[in-house]
Amino acid sequence: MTFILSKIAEKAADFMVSQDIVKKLREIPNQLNEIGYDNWGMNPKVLAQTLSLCRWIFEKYFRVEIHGIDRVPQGRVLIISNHGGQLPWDGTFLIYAMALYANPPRILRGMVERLIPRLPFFSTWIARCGQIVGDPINCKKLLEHNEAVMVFPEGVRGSGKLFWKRYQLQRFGSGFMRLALETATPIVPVAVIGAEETYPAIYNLKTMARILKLPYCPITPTWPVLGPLGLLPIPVKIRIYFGEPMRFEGDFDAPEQDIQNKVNLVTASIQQMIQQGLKERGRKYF
Amino acid sequence: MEKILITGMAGALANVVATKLSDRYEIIGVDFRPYHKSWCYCGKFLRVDYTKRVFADIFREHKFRHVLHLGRIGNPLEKFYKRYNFNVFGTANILNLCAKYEVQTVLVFSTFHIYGAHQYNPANIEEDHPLRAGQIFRELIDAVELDRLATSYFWKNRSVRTIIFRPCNVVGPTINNAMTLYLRRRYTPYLMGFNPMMQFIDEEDIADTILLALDKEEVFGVYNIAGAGAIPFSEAIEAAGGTGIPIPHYLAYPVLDQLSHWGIGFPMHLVDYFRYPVVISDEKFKKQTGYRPQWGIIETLKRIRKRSY
Repeated sequence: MTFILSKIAEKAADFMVSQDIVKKLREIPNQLNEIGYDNWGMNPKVLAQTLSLCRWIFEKYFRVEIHGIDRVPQGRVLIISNHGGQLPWDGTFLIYAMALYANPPRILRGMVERLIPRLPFFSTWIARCGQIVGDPINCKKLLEHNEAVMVFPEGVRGSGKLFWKRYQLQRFGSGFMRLALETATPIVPVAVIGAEETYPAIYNLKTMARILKLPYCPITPTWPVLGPLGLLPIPVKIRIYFGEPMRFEGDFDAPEQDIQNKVNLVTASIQQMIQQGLKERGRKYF
Repeated sequence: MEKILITGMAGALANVVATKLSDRYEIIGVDFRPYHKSWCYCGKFLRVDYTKRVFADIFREHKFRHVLHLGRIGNPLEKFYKRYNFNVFGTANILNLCAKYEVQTVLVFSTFHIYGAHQYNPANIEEDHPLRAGQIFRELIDAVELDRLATSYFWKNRSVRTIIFRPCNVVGPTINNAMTLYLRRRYTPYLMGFNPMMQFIDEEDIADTILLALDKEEVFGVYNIAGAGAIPFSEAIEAAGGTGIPIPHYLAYPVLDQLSHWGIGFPMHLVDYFRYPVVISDEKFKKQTGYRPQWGIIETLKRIRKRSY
């Protein structure tokens, strides 16, 4: 039964796939083997199907607006962004933007939470879309192959924060900076405006999260009151701002304080872009 | 003619390797199991227990130049204490004898399972990656200890060229290991919603890598051997000509746990390899030897059903 359903879903997805997306993904250099997969499990066919299915959500539902994507340099690059909104919609916006609007198009490899591989179906699907477990070895290997890697250095501290802490950057981990120094990779700071309002969390059920082995368990005005309907994100307009690439030099094995000083420069740059974006948005949430 | 000792001679892989080496070396095959009459290579065979002192007589008599220790018990349904005895004490005995009787090259056949199937695993695992298998399942500790024994032997006895191979799943028309038998089934169960990338290498290809390692003097130390590339498990089942049967993981684990008490079913400690990917990198071996596998991913899997005996 599952086999038949998966075949039907595959045929439907094939039918709906946009040819311009397929064409764009074909232009991207990759490490695919003879059957069309790389060793992380990425498959451009599934990514094209996913992007085609999500196109309406991005363009009509969230009306994603992209600024400064031409600043993303060619070759290896680390995309460092703010993180918020409980579910990682901000990551999907960036993947979509980089695949369809970057020149040349790029497959953005996101570093996902380490609990993801435990989840059936979802783990397989995101692996096919090019997302990888957040491990420094994975990141380093991809950068050495000149790929574009997306990191949210706030991790769950950022995505799980409550609504009144929105757009306040949480502590940034320093791992991305060490990798950037080790592999001589430019960092592109990115600010995503709007994702924080998709699920305005008012409380975090920490005990429930511990029982369910989740990083957090939020309560929003619609979740869990409206049941599955509460999972529907608020259709806030999304604005993405790409900053100028930042290049750092120095020892990747330097003391933590030296690395943190460099991280602070990236944090300051993103915070400034967020303030600018919020100012431009004003009260036009939709 | 130089002499070579091959352990695990009652198994298919040793026979494939022996057939390829038979015109260049005088081969002495040993195993604790009886010899299968229908194997392709029919050379000198001695049935012997590697853990016993009497095993030294073979070394004393033959003065081997090379030793291929392919005789690791991989059968997961074999009793744990028996596997541990043969794999750990047997290997220790073989390595000590190699040092004592001045063997020039020792090749130890380990496995990629020692890296462990874990949700945190990165892709393209290299040889210096921590060996997590023992931490996850006690049943795999024999494989980890065998590898560690060989690695420490490599550092202690620098006069002996020690090569440790950690191959991915070896499959083929002759082989009858757990993975090949599993893929030969008409209906192959897999964990619903999990489709990890897996690597397979054909028996002919792995035999070629062993020959290459013997020939190239500069090859020593630990090497991953990965085959032609990674493939999702569901596609591997299809390529091997089977039909996948999805089983929810929340049912599979308790059912297999119960069955394992009766010594039947699929071993619990290998189920995670069908849930989390363990993708290894063999860049080091390829760079050093220029090796390229003869069989592609799909051909490797298709050949499984063409049983050659």
